[in-house]
Parts: sequence; C-alpha cells; structure tokens
Amino acid sequence: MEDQKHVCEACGKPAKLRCPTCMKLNIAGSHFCSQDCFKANWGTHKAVHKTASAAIANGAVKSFNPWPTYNYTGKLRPVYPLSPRRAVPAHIGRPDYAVDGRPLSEMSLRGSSKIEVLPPDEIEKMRTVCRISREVLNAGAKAIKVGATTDEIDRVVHEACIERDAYPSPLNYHNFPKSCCTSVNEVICHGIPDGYEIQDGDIVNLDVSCLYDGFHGDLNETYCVGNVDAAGQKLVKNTRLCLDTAIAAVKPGMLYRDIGNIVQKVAHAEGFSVVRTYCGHGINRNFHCAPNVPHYARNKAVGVMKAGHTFTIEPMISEGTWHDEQWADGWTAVTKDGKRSAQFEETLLVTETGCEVLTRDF
Amino acid sequence: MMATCTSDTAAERLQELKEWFSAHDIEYDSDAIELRVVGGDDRPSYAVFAKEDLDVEQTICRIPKESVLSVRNCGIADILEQAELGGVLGLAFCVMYEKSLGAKSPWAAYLRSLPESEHLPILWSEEDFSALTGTDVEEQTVRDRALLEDDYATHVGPLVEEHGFPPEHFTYEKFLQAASLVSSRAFEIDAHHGESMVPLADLFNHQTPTSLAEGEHVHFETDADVCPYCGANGACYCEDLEDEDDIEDVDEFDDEEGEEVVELVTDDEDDEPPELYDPEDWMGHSDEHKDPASYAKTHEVDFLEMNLIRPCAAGEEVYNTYGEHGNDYLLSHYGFAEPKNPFDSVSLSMDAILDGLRSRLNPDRIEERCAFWTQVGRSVVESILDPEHEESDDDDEEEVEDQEDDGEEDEHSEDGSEDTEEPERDNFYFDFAGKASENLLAFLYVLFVDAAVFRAFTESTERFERYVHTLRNGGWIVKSTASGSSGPKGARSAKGRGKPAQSTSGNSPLDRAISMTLLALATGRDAMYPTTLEEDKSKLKKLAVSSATNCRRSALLLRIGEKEILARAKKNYMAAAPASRR
Repeated sequence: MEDQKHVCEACGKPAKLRCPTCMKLNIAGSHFCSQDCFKANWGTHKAVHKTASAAIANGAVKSFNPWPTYNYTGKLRPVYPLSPRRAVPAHIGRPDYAVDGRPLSEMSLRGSSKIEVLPPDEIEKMRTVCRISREVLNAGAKAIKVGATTDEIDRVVHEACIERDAYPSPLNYHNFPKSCCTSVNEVICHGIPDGYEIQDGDIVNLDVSCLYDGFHGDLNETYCVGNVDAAGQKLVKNTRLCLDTAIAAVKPGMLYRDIGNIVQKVAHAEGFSVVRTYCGHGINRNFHCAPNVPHYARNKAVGVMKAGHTFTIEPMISEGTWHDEQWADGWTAVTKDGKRSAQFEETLLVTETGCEVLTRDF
Repeated sequence: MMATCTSDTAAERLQELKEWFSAHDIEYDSDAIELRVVGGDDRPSYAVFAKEDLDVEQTICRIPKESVLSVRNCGIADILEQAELGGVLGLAFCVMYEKSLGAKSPWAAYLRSLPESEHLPILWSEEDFSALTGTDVEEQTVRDRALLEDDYATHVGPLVEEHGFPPEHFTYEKFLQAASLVSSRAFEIDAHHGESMVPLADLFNHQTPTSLAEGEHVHFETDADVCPYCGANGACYCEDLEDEDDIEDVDEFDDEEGEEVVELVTDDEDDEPPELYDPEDWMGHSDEHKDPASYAKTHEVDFLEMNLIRPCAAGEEVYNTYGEHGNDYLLSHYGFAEPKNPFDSVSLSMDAILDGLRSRLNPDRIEERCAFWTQVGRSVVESILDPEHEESDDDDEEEVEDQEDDGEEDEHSEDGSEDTEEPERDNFYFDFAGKASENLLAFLYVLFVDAAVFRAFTESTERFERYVHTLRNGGWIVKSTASGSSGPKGARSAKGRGKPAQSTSGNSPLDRAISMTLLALATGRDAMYPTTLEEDKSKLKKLAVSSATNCRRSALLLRIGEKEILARAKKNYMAAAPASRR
C-alpha cells in the first residue's frame, strides 16, 4: 500500500513526503515533493487542517494511529487525535516557553555547568512548589484505573495545577502538547497523554511538574494497575529502591557522577538495566539546568554537590535492554526491545548534612 | 631487581589501560598496530608500532570525544567554570583532581598509565638545569617557573582551600607534575573541550623531519568546529538563540513573569509550515534507515581519529607530530630534543641587541627608534611577513592609526595587552641556516638608517612599509645564503651556507654596519655558553644512552644545535662585514 506512487499536492511531481499535521489528523494524501513546495502552498493547505479538526471535534472521525508504518517496539500505539490544548487562566504566572515553546531562559545558559546555590527565600519557594507538585501527582494518581484514558489523567493533573494557581510545566515546553507525561509499560518517559485506555496489568508512570511563584517542582511515580505480574512488580519495586538508595547518599561534597554508580548497582543486582539517554537535572527558576545527573555507572557528569543545590534524581530502569528509541511524535521514549521500563523521581535540596526530599509524600 | 619490578608494572599498566580503552569505546586497529612498553627500566613509557604495512588514509584509532579529560567533563567542571580556570592551568587542575580520587576516577586506569611527570626543564634539578646556561631554554624556564608559581599562588592554592580539596594532592610539586603532563600530552581538540588529555592519541611519539628522519606518519583529526557552549557537532539548542537580543528578551520576560498576561498560542497554524514527514525515515527496510533518535545520537558520539598521512612499514614505530618546533620548544614543552632539528633557532632579546650598541649609538637615538619599533615598526613588519594574520592584528593597526594622532597610545596599548595574554614577541633570532630573522633585520635597519629616512618613517607608515618591501625584494643583506628562503623548509635545504657572499663589494655602509652588528651578536651570544661546540660534541658521544642521562643528553643536543647555528651566523656575517675582520 505504501509502495504506490504519490504526487505532490501542489505541483503534481512525484512525491513521498507528507504533511505531519495531516498525518496526526488522519487526513489521507497530503503528499509534497519538497519542503519548498510545501512552504509555497502553506497558505492554502493549512485550511485542510481546520476542516479536519472540525470533523474530529464533532465526532465524525474516531481514533487512529498517526504513524502506521513505524515499527513499534512493543504493543503500545499512539491513540490520536489528541484532545485540544488545555487553557491556563490568565492570572497564573507562566514560563517563557508558554508562548512559542522555546525555553529561552534555559537556552541562554548555553550548557553552562555552573550549579546555582539558592538563597533561603528561594529555597522556601522551592519547598512550596514541590509540595504543590506532590499534591498534583497524588490527585492524578487517583485517576489511574482500568479503562481511564491517559488524556483523562492529564485533565485531572491540569485541573489540579490550576486549582493551586500553578502552571503545568510540561505544557508547551519545547512544544510538548500536554500538561504531564504518562508513560505506559515499554514507554521509558515522555509519553504524551492521548486516547489510550489503561489496561489491567499495565504499569503507568505519571510525571508531574509545576511552576509556581517563579520556581519549578518535578516528580514522578510508577503505578501498578490491577493485576501486574510478579516481574512487573519487582521492576517497579527495584526502581523505587534505586531512587531511595541514591537519595540516601546525597550530601555536600559528593560528585554528581557518582549517583549513577549507586543506581546501577541496585538495578544490576536484580538483573535490570539503566536507561542512559535520559538523566536527572538541576531545577529551580529553570525547568531543566545544570547539573546533569546520569543514572548509569562510570558516567562523566560534572559537578560537586553543595548545600543549596536543587536537582532531581529519576532513574529509568528497564526489564531488558537499556537502549531506547523515540516515536515519530518527537517525545515518546520506548525501550528498543519493547520490554517494560519503570521510573521514580523526586526533587531534592542538598543541605549541610545531607538532603531534603522536597517532593516527599506526606 | 627494582628495575624488573617496575618493568612488570609497566606491562601490567599497559594491559589495564587496554582494558580501560575498551570499556570507554576507545578503539584501535589491533591488526595494524600494537602498543608496546619502551624506554629504560627505570622510566618506562609506551609507543605505537606498526604490525603490518600501513597505508595513507588508513584510520588506526577512533577515540570518542566523551572519553577525553577536559575542563568540560572533569568531575569539578562546575567549580572550574565558576573560577574561570581554563587552558593548561585548568586542565592541570583536572589532572590533579582526578588523580586525587584514585580508583574512583572514571579516568583511573588512564591516569595510572601516565608517568608521574614529564621531565621538563621546569622540574630539573639545579645541577641538570645548569647544563642549559646560555641557551634559549634557560631564560624560558625561568619565565615558566615564575608564571607557574604565580598561577599556583593566585589560582590553585585559593581554590583548593575554598573547596576543601585534600591539600596533599594539590601541592606545588604535584601542580608542576600535572602541568608537565598537560604541557607534553594535551591536544587542543575543539571549541568546546579546548585543551584535553586524549587517551591513546598521546601514546604516539613525535618525530621531526630532519636529514636523519622522515617525520610523522599519522595526523590527529577531528571536527573542531563544534558548538563552543554544549559541544554539539551539528544542530543544538544553543544555535536556536540566533542573536544576543534573544537573551536580553529573556531578562525582560523574567521581570514581567506573572504580571503581564501573555496570550497562549492555541492556534498551532502559524505562518511557518512544519517539517515534512519522510516515510523512509521510519520504514526500517534497510540497516541504513535513520534511527528515530538520530538527532540526539549523531551529536552524542563525536570521534577523534588518528589517520595515516605517510606509509609506515611493518615493525616501525608509528610517529605523530607535535608541530614544527625547534629543540628549545620541544625541550621546554615535551622534555626532549632532536639532533639536526631544522626548526632550531637562536633567539636574541631586544635588550641584548641594544646592550651591544650603546657604545656606538647615542641613547636618544636608541630610545626614539625603539619607540617607533614597538609602536609601529613591529606590527608593520609582522603584517608584511604574515598578511593572512591581519585579522588578528586589528588592534595593532588601530594602534598605528592612533600613533599618528599622537594621542593616547599608552592607554591603547594597555587595552591591547589585556586582549593578548603574552606580551608581543619580537621574533629576533638566527634561523637554522644562521640567517637573521626578518624582524631582526628590519629592527636593525630602523636603528641604523640615517635621520632623514627615519623621519620619513615617522611621518608616514607607508613610507616604512615601502622601505621594508624594498629590502625584502633585494634579499636584505648577505646574499650568500639560500635566497628568498624564510621558512623552515627553505632552511632545511640551505646547503649553500658558509660560502662567502659574492656581492659583498656592493654592500653599502649601512649593510656593513648591520652585518657587523649581527656578527657581534652571534659572537657575544656564543660566549655565554660555558663550553665550546667541540667539547659538547665529544661529551655527547661519550654519554651512554640511558634514561638517567636524558636531561644531559637533551641539554647537549640543544646546545649543539644552538652553537652550530651561531657558527653559521658568524660565517655568514663575517663575509658580509669585511671591515670587522681582525
């Protein structure tokens, strides 16, 4: 079916490239010979999207997989269309990227490895936003049950943020379309909440981040839904242990790169692997900044812990390979072998004697 | 017994290093090359040998950039960035720090494979150092030691104290040792990492192309033009920040955050169409299909390579080049010297030149002409000799213009010296063929030209430029040496040295005065050595080849090289300055 010849919607020449928006909207055709031809006809073409959006809105089109030719590594598929973007009331303070998706304040750090030491008043703000983030996560967790869609969880999370006058940090961060990440089974992280209905036996990670009074908080947990098999439960338990063991070691003078040695030791002890592509991170006025905190052993991350640093540890532990790949949506990270991956995350403050788990449950 | 023990350890360490290489994805073609322990038992080192005939363009090593040690990926990179410690100093600190962690450092096996220090003159005993009396390296070493002492006192010591690093691992002695390793082994790898310790690449020894040897086989190659901020070789977020305005916008935005209401873009149909979707990227039909994460992967793994530029026969040592350097540089930076090094030279300081002339030229004249030289003449000559470097000479040109205004040139030159770390070098020297450098010649002409001509120079820089051009076109003075040769290549083939100039009769009094001065300079410099050339040569012959005698051997090679140059210089300028004949 894919082998048939297509022609450019604009000029009639042979074409194989497709408009990604049309694909997400499940519009047939929409081939173009080149980016230039596409650009030249953008003005008229984009009207097609409006019509299709309306059809989806009035229920004329049901759910679909926007990338049917992609070799999915596991059983999970994206379930489009995504729900419309959720609004944030104007009185809630928003980050720079809310407008165009570009976190300019983060980008302007340009990969600096300097780690900020927060003064007491800012630490207090971190405590506040991290407590709010925990409340939001717990509210979202209550919505995780068999038959609920991940989009439904996103709605709960979004509303819980709004109730607390917090901005859901993921929303529009590098154009991320939703207010939290929901990562099911083989999804390692950054799953986009969509029409997927949670099944009995799924492991579901919910990752929540909030912006309040200028500061971000970030945490996530993996939940076992219904009858998860023993192997899945063991994975989830081990992942929590990885995080807790690493947190116990945090204190001033420790090297950030040594976190990975601790995590990997715990994971390997039970035969699990550590994802390498995604790391913990500094967090404060910026959603993501220095330090970079890999979870695998013998990494070469830079930085020494110092009282006043705020950062996350968020190990992603996999049943099979640590190798990952990304879906065509540019976000969803999945295991290369399709086996399950779990994750837990807390935001931490380095104190004079050790650390404070700012996002701890109460 | 002691020696055997060390040698065993050297082999063990090499084995450990090889295992470390594979754990860090550092690869070499083990069919093509092998790593061997070489050198004396008391000071073993490693070298690379060809196992089979190696051909041009063959890649024999691949080193992921991630495995180098630099101020960017050292465990305390954040502290070094905060302290703005970079370059050789920053890297020396990294080496001390990572060594202090012992087995816990990710570079442990690599660092263990290195010698404690490279035997550079900064670390020589006073006795060994006395063998450098009168040489270029003597002065250089005194300067280096002062700079290192200052760096230690102003940067290293305070940082160690501030962060409570274990002081026993950061002593001045350890600092000198680390600095010697960095000086002798570091590579400048790219715009992000800068000076870096590069495992495996630093096992290749250097060979200078001379009449006795052919020079290097391999070159070190990498994409140096990466994002200076994040090190990405290709697309990165830093690039998205098109200009400084973006960053300023951020500040403004931060100030307004939470106060001003910004409308969310709910309509994603803005005026730029998205990137088209290419199904072939996703079909997975062939092995070559793009990995979905290729964007991330391509700039995650960036390699350094060692590639053959000259064939190397099986069994031979595979050499790299550390650059076209004379023995003074090789010795002070790498701790060795080579016989018949064509890049050798003998430097002369401005003070030494003027000291010899004070009896002949009046002090006012010297002062006036030197001022012209430092403010105008030098940069004019530099830009004539190396027109490609004009860009970086912008400051100099401005200085020249300001000079004409007779304005605030003092302030200006201060600005200039802030930009460049080292003061400008005069480049006064005799080259391998015993010829005075063009800077030296130009300076002497400035000193000796008669008052009227000099006045013309001060009135118009262009006049001076034309004068220098004319001198260069005429081959300066002393037409005996290979004409027009100015670079080391020319110097290497300068076989006609020592033949008296045929055109001495045509030399003007000005030329003769300059030749006489050069002759006096060469003679004076030669007299500074405590020994003669012949004595040195016979000492070198008698010296057993052993690592214990390495310092003395290097010092002798350096001295012999310098003295041979001075002998050639004397011959050259004696011929051109007949009046000075005794």
